[in-house]
Amino acid sequence: MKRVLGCLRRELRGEILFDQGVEVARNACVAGAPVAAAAIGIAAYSGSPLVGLAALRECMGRLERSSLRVASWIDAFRFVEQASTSTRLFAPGFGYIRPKGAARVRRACRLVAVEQLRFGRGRLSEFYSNHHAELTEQCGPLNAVGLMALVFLELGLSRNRAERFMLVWQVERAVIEAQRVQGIGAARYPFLSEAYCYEGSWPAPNDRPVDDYPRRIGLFDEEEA
Amino acid sequence: MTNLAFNRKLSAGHLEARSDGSTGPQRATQTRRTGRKNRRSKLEEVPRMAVASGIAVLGERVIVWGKDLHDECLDLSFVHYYHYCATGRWFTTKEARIWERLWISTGYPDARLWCNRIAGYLGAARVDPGLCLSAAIAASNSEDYGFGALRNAYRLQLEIPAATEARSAWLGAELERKRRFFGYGRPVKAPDERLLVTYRILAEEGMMAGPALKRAYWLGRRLAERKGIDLNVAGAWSALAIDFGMNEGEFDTFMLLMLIPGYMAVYTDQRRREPLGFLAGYRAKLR
Repeated sequence: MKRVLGCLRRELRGEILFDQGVEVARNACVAGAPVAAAAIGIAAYSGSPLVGLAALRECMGRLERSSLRVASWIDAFRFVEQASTSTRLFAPGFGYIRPKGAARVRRACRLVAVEQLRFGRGRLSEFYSNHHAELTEQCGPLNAVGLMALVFLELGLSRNRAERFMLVWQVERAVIEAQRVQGIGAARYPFLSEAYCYEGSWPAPNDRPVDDYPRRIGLFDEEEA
Repeated sequence: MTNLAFNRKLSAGHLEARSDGSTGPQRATQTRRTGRKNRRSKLEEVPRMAVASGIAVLGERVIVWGKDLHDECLDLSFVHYYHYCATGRWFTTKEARIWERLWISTGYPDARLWCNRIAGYLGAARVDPGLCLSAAIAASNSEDYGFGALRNAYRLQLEIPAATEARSAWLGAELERKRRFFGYGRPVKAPDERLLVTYRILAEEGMMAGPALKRAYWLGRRLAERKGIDLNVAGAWSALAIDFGMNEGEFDTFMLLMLIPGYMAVYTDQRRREPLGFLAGYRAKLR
């Protein structure tokens, strides 16, 4: 089990799989906050129902209830367009990943499948590796949370234990990145460099007269004395 | 446990209270009484919580630093009440109103700011607002901006000598050793727009600048001449806190909530948008 977990952990640490949680942690420390701020930030991010610990648990649950048939997985994880709002219903463990990241997850899935098949395990990761094209078409690509759910289930981990692994791995990865940027400040961090598109309305121009407030509150007293 | 169940548990015990002087708050000790000997010996091991901040006598009344919450505090503004809770001292309505307006003046809902950006990411990820708030506040505890910067500015303000002559000598020495002047300067090439607002708020509330704020302003003028950096809002507000009699710990604790409006505006905005769409796939590259 240690070997498989080690393999999975290494694969998930790749920069291509850095998500917004890592950016939260980097932002937390860039202005010189202690790494505790990064840990709190990434822990908060793990509260995301879309890509956090709840998604892991839900994904494990759905996998447990599915059989090793493509139709069964599609039934459990298919995304559905909501016509009224044009939004996609969420399938835990799938989607919310860019193509390069998805390719990395597929590669990692194959690796852990090979690692496990030697010991007669790894049926879920092998199944996904063999059928990812059909599944991706219907469910979106497997993401890092989905991969963890597959492997943790294959290893027979309880959901609580799986949750602990995921949280600890995420915190470790994010804190390493946060330490890299800790305290570098705005001068080197690209704050205010984005194309900022304010879509809200603008109030009327402010024509408040500029009063001599410093003098009114006596700030010049010392100078004038 | 429900409130009702907790109340019943409390009512099984008793409240020992003794006066701590004619005007001071009462000290109260809550213990549970039981008829059984063996039960009593177990309860004696319950740790004692020594507190002065307050007590909720559920079903009856709530005391905060010696005042009755529902009798004496309900007419306070939230900031005034929070100020009282955070410092244990009763500030004037005018002082509290000044702080409230100052806080409003720095509630910037701009998603580019480092702490607001965290709120943006977490809103887009549909994280609960409580977790988002914790993360944004933790990130604001930074040295360059936010609470660490305020703390450092406060310490610097305390160091500025009162006598003008000594002050000039002190400044010369600090410049000589290339000290970083927290509370002065800004990472962007623009004056701090909140400064004029601060002076306006003080003027509108009929409050004259105290000695610490005058010293802060004096130093700002000198640093503007010699280094091209001017007083910023962290310097002005820490000086104001000194003038209002707040110590460093009180200032630290009290200022904690001032950035929340900015975080939550950005959080709400991003929560309404496409899931995980905020800066999707972006990785900040260092300059």
